[in-house]
Amino acid sequence: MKYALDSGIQKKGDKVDAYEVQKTLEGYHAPITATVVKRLEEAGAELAQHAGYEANMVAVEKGMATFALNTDVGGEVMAAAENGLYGLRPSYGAISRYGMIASASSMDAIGVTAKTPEDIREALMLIAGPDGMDSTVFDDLATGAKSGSMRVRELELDEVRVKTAEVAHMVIRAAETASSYYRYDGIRFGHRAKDAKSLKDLYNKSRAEGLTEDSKKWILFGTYVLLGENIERCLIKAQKVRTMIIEALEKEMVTTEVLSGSDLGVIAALAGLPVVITPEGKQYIGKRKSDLALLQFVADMKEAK
Amino acid sequence: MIIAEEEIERLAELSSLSLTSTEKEQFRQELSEANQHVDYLNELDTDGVEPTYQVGDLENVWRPDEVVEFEAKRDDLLALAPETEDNQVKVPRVL
Amino acid sequence: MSDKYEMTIGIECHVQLATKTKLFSGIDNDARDKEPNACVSPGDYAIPGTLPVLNEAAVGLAIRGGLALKGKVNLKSRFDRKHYFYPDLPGGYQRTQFFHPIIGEGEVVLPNGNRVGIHHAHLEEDAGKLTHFGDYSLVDLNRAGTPLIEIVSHPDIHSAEDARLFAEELWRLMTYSGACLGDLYHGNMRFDVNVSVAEKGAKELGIRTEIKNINSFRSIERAAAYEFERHVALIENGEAVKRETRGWNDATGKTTGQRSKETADDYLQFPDSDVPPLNLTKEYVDEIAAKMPKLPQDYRAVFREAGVADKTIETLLDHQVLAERLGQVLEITDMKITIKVANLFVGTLLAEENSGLNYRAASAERLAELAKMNEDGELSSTATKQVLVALYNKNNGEKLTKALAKEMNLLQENNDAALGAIIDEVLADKAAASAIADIKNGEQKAIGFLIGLIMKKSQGKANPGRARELLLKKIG
Repeated sequence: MKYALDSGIQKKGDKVDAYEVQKTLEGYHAPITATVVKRLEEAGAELAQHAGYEANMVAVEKGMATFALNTDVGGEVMAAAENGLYGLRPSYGAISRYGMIASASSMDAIGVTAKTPEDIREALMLIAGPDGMDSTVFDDLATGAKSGSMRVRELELDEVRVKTAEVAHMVIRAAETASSYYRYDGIRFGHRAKDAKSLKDLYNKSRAEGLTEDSKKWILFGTYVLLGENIERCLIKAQKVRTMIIEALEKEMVTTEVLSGSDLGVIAALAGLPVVITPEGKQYIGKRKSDLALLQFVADMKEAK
Repeated sequence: MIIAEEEIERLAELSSLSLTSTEKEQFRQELSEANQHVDYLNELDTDGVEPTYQVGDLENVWRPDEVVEFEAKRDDLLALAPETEDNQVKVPRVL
Repeated sequence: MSDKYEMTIGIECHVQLATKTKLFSGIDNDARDKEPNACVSPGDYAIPGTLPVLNEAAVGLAIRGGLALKGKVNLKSRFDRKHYFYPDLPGGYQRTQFFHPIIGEGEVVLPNGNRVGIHHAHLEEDAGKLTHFGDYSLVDLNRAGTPLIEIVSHPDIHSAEDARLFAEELWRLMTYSGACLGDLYHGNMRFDVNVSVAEKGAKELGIRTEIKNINSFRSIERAAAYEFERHVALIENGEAVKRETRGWNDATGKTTGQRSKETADDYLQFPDSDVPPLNLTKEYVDEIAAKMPKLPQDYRAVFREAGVADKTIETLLDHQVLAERLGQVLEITDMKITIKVANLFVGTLLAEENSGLNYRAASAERLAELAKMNEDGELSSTATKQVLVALYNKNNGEKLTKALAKEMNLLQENNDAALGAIIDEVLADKAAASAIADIKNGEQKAIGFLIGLIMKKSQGKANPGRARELLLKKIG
């Protein structure tokens, strides 16, 4: 079994190319190996490619790899459909994040892409579960599975709801990313500016030179939403909206196991729910920890066609 | 709500980012736009709603107080540093 | 002039918890005598992709420390990120408990009866250490990630002496409870002293200055006293006290303004979602409470009742092992013996020349026997002290007191016949002749001279009191 790995998920000795923080991580060779990589290694899987997620999806599409693992903060895995593939953004906490470069700590997940839901399932079984290195991983992925047929219902999201979710996601992502990126400072690893006149200058220049424009935007806005005078109106408000979204989804799922729709990546990330996309671009969201059942549901649907 | 240039400067200072004047203006506009979306969010009534800062119901996740081996030790870590001396990372002195 | 003013002091104390590993990673927490960066995990170095995993023992010790402070244990608490840029903080944020600390309101009662309220105590990770040279600094992360509780007092302290007493009592509470090893030399406890001065009776407190990182009790008292005078001088001079952080220089005996480096204009504090919250049960806390060792105030109560002098108690309380031992002695004997042992501890065992002894060596039984032997006249005062020190000598292992005293040939001669014989010998010697004449003439001083000869002849074993009685009887 061969797999393609996102640059943002580390393997000891490998550089971090094709990833948002690659410039600030120039000269950096990962000193640690991500749990998912260790487990795949132990299972005899071969790392076919360690690259950006677009290249990885192409690899899977071309059959050079059975599945790909990507870093996912808001549904990036949905790009799978563009390559004619299935993609799963798992429940938050299903897979250990150890070794994956962090951006939004409460929403980061490792996405899985493959030609079939069965392949995704196989990969998930190999890599999921606690590892003692990530405190947010739960151990009852299997118990979330429900045998028997699962109901599905369309989730109607009007513009207002979509926008609300996106803004809440944006604010939380900004705050958490700004926080995660404090460590890119040129001190212990990565790009350090030359000719800094002082320590403060070293910080300012190293970060300015090494971080991308996008990263800087997240950092500046994240800092803004965390300021004492703004936090209530910004981050805390977004977190309250997050609660409302979670509760609304719970309510919707009282009478169904699966919700179908579009633009589900962001709300899945906010609520920590698993979401699957099919090559046709259909998206399905399941209850927390029901990843395996959700994959089975999608597989059954594929069969039924 | 518009964000002023001084605010961008303050944010840059706080997040240790040197910005060119072009960048300052660009980010000022982008952040102001993002801030308007935040205003939109604040039109929603969230009275009595608790913020969610982590999903899932895990509590009391901890480990026993036992020394474990790590795959990277001092030399592996210091090898990544731009400048070291005497087994320590070397930095310009803070004034 | 100083009488017009009152000082108000609040103290923050960073206490390193006595765990084997760090707060959020299973790396060795003991870097004493180790090379720089010998105890650093990838997480301590803030390698991307590393995550925190909480040390359960740190939670337990935080609770113990909190209970020692009579603090409320908050069953629900959680960790937040406090952000600032400084090389001793690799990740750029410290994991701390800003919003919901594990320990709430408590109090510390000083030996002089004054009470200092505790606002709260919270868990957090320690930062690394920078060493400065010329135009550069070197970063040692051994200490980064070490578990701390930060104890914050209310501004209830109003004298430099009380500041010292508070720090000392805090040290005792943290070591007696087992929360901290109490090694001040290695920075196990560090004190920040906040001082403000205002006129007595004033409604508002004065401007506050903070003296950071003091790690000796005497320095705390000196620094507080100095700062008080400095504030008073400024106020009397019509100048404003600048709100700032200052450093204490023990050599010069002065505080100097320091630009605070490890600060930020806004720490951007928000919950750390990498660490699930703590939600403890009452049973969990009760189990820890049940196993709490005796605290200083428990010993004070018991020893005071036994009649041990306050000053003796306070000296003993600086040595938990001895306080424990004395408590055990009290349990198996009576007040008289206990007081004797207490005085032996303070007067002899703790004397300069006897430093370095292992205070655990002598059991309560052997100590009680020693005191009893002295009480019964079997050992002179001098001999008692010698046997005491011998009991703590590792070469003497578990030897029983009486056997040891005998081996050292120190058992007092209490046999009247044998003693009488020695006295006769001494009296027969011509060296004693003029002394005998003096005594018959009423010169009391000569008695001491003869007792001296008797003690010498008996190789110190004679009971001096009894020898005096018999001697006077014989002289007539």
